Amino acid sequence: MGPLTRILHLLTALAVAVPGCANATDEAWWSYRDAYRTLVRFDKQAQAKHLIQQRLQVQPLQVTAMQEGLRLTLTGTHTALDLPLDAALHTKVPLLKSAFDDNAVLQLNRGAEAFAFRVRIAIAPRPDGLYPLQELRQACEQVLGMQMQLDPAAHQGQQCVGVSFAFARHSSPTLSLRTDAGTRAWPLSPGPLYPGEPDRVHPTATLRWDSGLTTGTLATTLTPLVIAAWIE
Amino acid sequence: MTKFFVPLCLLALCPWAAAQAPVFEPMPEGSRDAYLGLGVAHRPLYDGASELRWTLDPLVHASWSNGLFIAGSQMGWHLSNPETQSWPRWNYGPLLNLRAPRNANGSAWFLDDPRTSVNAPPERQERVRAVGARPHAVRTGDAARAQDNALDDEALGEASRLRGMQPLSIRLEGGAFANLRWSPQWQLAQTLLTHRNRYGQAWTGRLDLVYTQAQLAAHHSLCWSIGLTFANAAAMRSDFGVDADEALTSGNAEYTRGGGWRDIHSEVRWNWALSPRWVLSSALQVSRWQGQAAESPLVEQSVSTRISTALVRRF
Repeated sequence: MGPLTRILHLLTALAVAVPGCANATDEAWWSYRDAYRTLVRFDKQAQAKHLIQQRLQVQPLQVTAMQEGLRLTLTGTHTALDLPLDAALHTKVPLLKSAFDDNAVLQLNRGAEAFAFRVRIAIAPRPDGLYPLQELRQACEQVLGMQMQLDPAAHQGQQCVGVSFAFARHSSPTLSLRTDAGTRAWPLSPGPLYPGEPDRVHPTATLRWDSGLTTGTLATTLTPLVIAAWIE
Repeated sequence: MTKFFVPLCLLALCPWAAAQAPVFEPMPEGSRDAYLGLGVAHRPLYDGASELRWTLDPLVHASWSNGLFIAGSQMGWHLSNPETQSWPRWNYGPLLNLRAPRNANGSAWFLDDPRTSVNAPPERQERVRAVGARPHAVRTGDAARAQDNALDDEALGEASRLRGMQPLSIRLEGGAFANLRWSPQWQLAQTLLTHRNRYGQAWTGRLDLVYTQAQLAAHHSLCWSIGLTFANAAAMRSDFGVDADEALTSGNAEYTRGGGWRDIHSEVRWNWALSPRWVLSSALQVSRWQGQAAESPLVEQSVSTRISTALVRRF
């Protein structure tokens, strides 16, 4: 028996033996230890981050993915936590030593072909609904600065070009821009949660720096699901 | 969007030269992350041998929140805290490495020769054991000894060039590592290790370019590296040299050349997380002996290939 034949036999044996150790279900999962290490980097960065936030998103991979009854849990021998998902399927994953030591798992009650885990960094919404443009610019720079620290290769030569506000489906928010010259309504159009993504089901408002606006305050009547930094 | 990033390059407890130190991984204060596994490897009998054998290959990889790590046969300590630095980042610290012993049967942690195993007939086990210790008589011209040799060769199947060579015991090497990471994907890993042997102070240096593709697909990651090894005269002579006494007892030509470039090597490692607890870790390694090493009479083949696969549990 040649070495190659032996290798093939070995691989066949492993292919048979391995699924026995694998998760019995095809549900989407992410090792909490790996998730912890990915998420904790945000907190460890020394750069300014007071205007931005990091969340875990369960991103639908198919338009038809059923979102009703979707449940995300953190499960281990001594860990059992339900992580509530917002309307855009975001959640804040707690950083717990006990779950890390437990080798817990983030588990979704849906298949990996329908949903994927994404770590998202976006601008934090303000409770008063008032966003000074200067502050939005600063927040966009904070997002880009953070992305450059976490994955420099993917953001080489990119810059902030604006921000985008995305609201819950079927909601009707109103946006207005207040400047010294007065207040005017800001247009909304159907768009994605994050710029550059394909879905077009959320009311969105975009603000680009190249529009010449420098001062003023954007006011919203509803809390946006996502205020994304527009980075190109 | 941030990709999941877990630069997991698991290391087997391989009896060949040490690999690069792992990347520092942040974790909660007082926690640890450990992988233990067992697999099989198909590899040369010793560095430079043309004969291949199957061996059991344990896999050990553990890290602690204080920066201490065990990766394969090495143990080290991250003195830097790279998470708070901007790119490029430095990982550095002291490093210890164990090198496997080598005797006439080859190089392995447990000098397990399948031909001396309990499955072989007792007379043959006896013979193979004796052969390892007995001088090779090629040069004596003695007819009886020559016949002995023929029997020895028959017992061994293939005559090993290590027969009659002084065995090498387990060696503990000490040194340091300094890895320069200029992105989560790319790093330049450098290690320098030293120990004393009968030729003097042996130094071995390695330089590896490592690329980690953390998310090839869900739960699959790939770790690729290419690098060079340099050794000084004392290190080279113990692994590839043949001194005057050994030349007499082994039949190999005397070989006492100096140090320099030892090899160029490359590895591809594929980790498949089957569940949060189980990982299937497989690797293909190829090295090509260079310079003084390549010309050594002990080197039967200038290119060595090893494959291994192991089922690993995360603790």
